Amino acid sequence: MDQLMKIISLGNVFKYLFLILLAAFFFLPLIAMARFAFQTIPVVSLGLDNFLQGWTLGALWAALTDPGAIATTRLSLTLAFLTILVTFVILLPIATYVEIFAQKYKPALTAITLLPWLVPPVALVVGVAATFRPTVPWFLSNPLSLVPFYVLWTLPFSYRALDAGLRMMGARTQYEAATSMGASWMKFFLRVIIPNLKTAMLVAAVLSFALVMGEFAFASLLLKQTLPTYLVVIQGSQPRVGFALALLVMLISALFLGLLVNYLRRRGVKLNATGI
Amino acid sequence: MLVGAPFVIFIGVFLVWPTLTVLWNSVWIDGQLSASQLLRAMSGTYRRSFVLSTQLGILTSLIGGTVGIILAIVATNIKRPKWLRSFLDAWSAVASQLGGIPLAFAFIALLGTQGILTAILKFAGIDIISYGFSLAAFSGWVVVYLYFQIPLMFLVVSPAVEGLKPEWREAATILGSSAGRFWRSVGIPVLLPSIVAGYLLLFVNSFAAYATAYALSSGAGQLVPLQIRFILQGNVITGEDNLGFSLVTWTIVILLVSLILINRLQKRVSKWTSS
Amino acid sequence: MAEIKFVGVTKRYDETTALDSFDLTIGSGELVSLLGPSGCGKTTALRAVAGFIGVNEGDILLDGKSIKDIPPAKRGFGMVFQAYSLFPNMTAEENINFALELKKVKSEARKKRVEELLDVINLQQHRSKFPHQLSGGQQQRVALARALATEPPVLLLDEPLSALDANVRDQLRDEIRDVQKKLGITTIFVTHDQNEAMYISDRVAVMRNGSLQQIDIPTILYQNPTNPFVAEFVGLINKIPAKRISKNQWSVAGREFIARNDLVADEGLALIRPEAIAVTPDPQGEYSIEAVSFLGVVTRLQMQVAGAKVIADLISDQATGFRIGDRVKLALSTQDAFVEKR
Repeated sequence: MDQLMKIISLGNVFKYLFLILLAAFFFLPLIAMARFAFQTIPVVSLGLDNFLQGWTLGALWAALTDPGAIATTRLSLTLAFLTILVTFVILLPIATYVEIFAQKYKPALTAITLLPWLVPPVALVVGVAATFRPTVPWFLSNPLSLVPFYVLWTLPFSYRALDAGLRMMGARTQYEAATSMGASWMKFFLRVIIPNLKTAMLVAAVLSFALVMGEFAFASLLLKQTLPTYLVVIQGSQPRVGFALALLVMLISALFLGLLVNYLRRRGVKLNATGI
Repeated sequence: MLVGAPFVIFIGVFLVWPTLTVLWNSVWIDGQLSASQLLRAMSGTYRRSFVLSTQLGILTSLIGGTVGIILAIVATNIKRPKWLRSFLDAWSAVASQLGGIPLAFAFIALLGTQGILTAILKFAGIDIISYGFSLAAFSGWVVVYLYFQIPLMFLVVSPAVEGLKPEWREAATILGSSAGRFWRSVGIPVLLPSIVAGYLLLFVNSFAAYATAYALSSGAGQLVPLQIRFILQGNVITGEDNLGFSLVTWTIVILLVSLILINRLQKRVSKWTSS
Repeated sequence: MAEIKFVGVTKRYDETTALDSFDLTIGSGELVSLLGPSGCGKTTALRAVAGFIGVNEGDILLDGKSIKDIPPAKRGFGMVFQAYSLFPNMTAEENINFALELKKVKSEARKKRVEELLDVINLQQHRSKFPHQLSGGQQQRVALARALATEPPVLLLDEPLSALDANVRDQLRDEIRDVQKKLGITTIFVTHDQNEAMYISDRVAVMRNGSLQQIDIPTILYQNPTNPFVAEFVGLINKIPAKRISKNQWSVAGREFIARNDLVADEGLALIRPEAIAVTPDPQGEYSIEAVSFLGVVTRLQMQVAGAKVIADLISDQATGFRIGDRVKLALSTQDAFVEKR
């Protein structure tokens, strides 16, 4: 019995050692980034004697007041908002319809929503350039032309969230109950589906938001100045400000996702953030 | 059926049309069907890019996947402190999506040529740069990719690990099975489809990753996504469009095979877990 | 020969005591049920025999020899769990075969034994199905076959029927009973369902708060419980407001009886079985019938007595005349009963 206890506690040591190493791997880069942004002493002249000197939040202030940062943040927020809106408008009706009336099309719908995994941004942009440039040249010149691609790109995540919500609320039974009382399809959609799907819609919205705020490939390849592409620009000219801004972006998306997971956990819902 | 029309049209216009155009143009060259560009996209520097991207995909998937599995097993066995489990769930959801520019910056601050850890290690007598480590090269990409690969695997296999019923372990034990025998005959076979699906998903995730690679190597890396960008931006002589299309076609083929396998495996998993 | 004996077994968790100096002997070839509400320690007792949990004090003996320090894998017992215990990656026959493989049974003998067992559980035609393709009842039958495959000396059943539908449950209950009798295997059956326990067991051990309340054959347990808890837990019982007349003389519904336990109070609740109440029609009667339910052999009458709902079971032949609203008088067909605090 004693020997067994020893093995168990040894296993525990490894367990915690493993977790500590992982924690170091995940948090040291963030700490290093914070140091780079908030300590004015360059690494080469950093020593034990001046380790506590030169700390300032100046870079953060510069990042928050940088006109380029403000403009691109505004654009990224607009893109995120429109992406979420368009997602709901085109995806909610078909997801609800298939769940209630056409279960046999569900595998097809699921497969379609997985297509963005198959055609990554860089691949899609090649096709978009080859199709939209010659046919509707004005379209790609507007930064808001990113919205449809962001809707596509977030589809694996948003559809899975909405589908889980529809299944959990038992949409089919709800529909039978509602129509037996004489509710029209529209009324059912607005008064039953939407209110019952609030949590799922919140999940879809937060995931889409976090993804859009960090999306780089589409914006960069289509030469649009969003927050992530601006990060590269500003890091080139003012590295410390760029790092402060990047850290801010990371922490804010982490905060949003963290709050979401916590909120869901309290309601006993598991978040599918794998998008597959 | 009207309710589905906007969605179908949307997918058709923004996804199917561009994708089919690419696929078609990779084989329709100067007015006739030809595999010449597809073959060219698999030779010389381009072949090396595919090999490099595949190697990066396999390596980060194997390392990140294995660490992710261990993390999932450790996490289900840890009861205290209570917050640790929910913290891990939340953090993994965050970190698996933290690819991109900010992540690359964070590692530049830590392990770049001017990175703080690089400096500390050098002070301790370990000069990682002289060992050939560079964030702008393969070794560096592996380290940075693990940052989102590990949590992604954790998210993928956690449900399966939690789905391992304690009754299975106990039933095996009372039938006279050792722990090793249980894992060999039951635990691993049950987890295997999820694990393999997870490894494949990580491969897909790594193969398609663009932002991190771009920021780490200032857009000049040899990975497939960066090669495609290179051609797309017109940095090569004109008339090379078909080559770009062919690179994309190959990428889609590789991802398609992986995704079909993932789908097959997931169907198997859902059968076992739904009983 | 396989006799299991608990000797003063105590098992403590952080704040609770799951088993408290628990003593029990299960004779060779006997089927004993551990019956009690959740948290009474019945599952702990079973898992201690299986070896999944260690005990703080006392000992568990198999044929007089301590098995406390033998790991579960070496005890060689068979066990059937509540549900989901079949290995999902193996078919029905592979599950059974796995048990034999672990015991290093030769390939030829294994084949023969698997055939035998599939016959016993009558699942020949489902042998190649995976657990997820089998119904709950079929899964549990395979689990039973797997547990019995290596002819263990002791069979442990941890609420094997609780996850099944009612009709499947009754059928499997009978099958377990038949197989157990045929093999004469010492069996511990854990359940919270008293009907199940009474039906299947040679003896039933009623547990509460980690200790044994009473162990007896089902009829004695029902007719002669040794304390109010057992009386209440086993079978249906009325709780009728009663008054104390003298030392241990009490009266209920105007009838006197002797309290079987000491209760220091002027008022209490008498615990009286439905069949111990005799009902006779009487237009001047104090009580009136509120409901009549025909249950086959017996008919159940419901009345109000001193503000409490009381039921009386009569042989149906003698209850044909009763209608809702009829006035009746009541008598006790028993001289003594337990009394509980109000």
